[in-house]
Amino acid sequence: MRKIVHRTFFAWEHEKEEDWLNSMAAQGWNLVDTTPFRYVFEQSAPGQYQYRLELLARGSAQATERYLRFLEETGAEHIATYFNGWAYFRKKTADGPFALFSDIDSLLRHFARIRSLLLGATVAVLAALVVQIVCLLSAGAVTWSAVAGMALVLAAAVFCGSGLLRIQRHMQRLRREREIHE
Amino acid sequence: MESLALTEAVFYILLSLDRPMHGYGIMQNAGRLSGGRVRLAAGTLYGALHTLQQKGWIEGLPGGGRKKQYRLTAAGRAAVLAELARLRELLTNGEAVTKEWSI
Repeated sequence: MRKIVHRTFFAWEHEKEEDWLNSMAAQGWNLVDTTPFRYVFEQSAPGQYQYRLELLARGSAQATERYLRFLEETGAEHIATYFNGWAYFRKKTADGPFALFSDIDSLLRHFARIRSLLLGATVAVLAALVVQIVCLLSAGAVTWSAVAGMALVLAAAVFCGSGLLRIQRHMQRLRREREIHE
Repeated sequence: MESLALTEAVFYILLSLDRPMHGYGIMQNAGRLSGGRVRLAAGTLYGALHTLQQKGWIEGLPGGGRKKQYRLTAAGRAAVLAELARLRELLTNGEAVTKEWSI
């Protein structure tokens, strides 16, 4: 039996998303496919799988394929990849605990990738804001729709910015930890 | 001469590659040698193998096939021995100093 769930997770919440997928799996709902905001679950025995996400490093399709194949060899089944690079994996619980990163340095590299993605999005939003301001200035007249549009885009920029801040703080905490151990 | 400590992951990876081994084998070997304490995650391992290859401490064995195997180079072997010397120094000093500790 299958069910489809629609849910939103932001780029800085991937660990929260992992926790959710794993709690679903603990109840017997295993993720079998996903596209942004849409999750397809299949019902089976509870606690069979563990799930992890990773924002894949940018590279050639070949390089990505090599990485996915490597992960497969270690027992990590590839579920899906989003257009922006988020990849979903699962591993049978019977095979032991499942983690993609086992030291702080690789965790930091992963968060740095997420930060870049988010930074790119923030820059794009800010660029849209600049375009709107330019249009407004050249139009001469201030309309409600123009102001509303700018407010929306500004809110989006602030939202992305807050996500960036969250990631930055997390990375700083990790770096402090790194001073003591790996 | 630079003396940088190797991470545990790298140490156990190098220790596993005197004879050719593939990724999953390295993970299992590290776990076995450390009594289950060191768990090399696949993503971390992949990055480390890539870096070690760039450093010239290990080499990937030719021969397409599914599971790529890796093996130590002479430089890699030297790195392990240098690391052992460093660890020996730490252990010797640690035991000598703590022997003086009350309790």
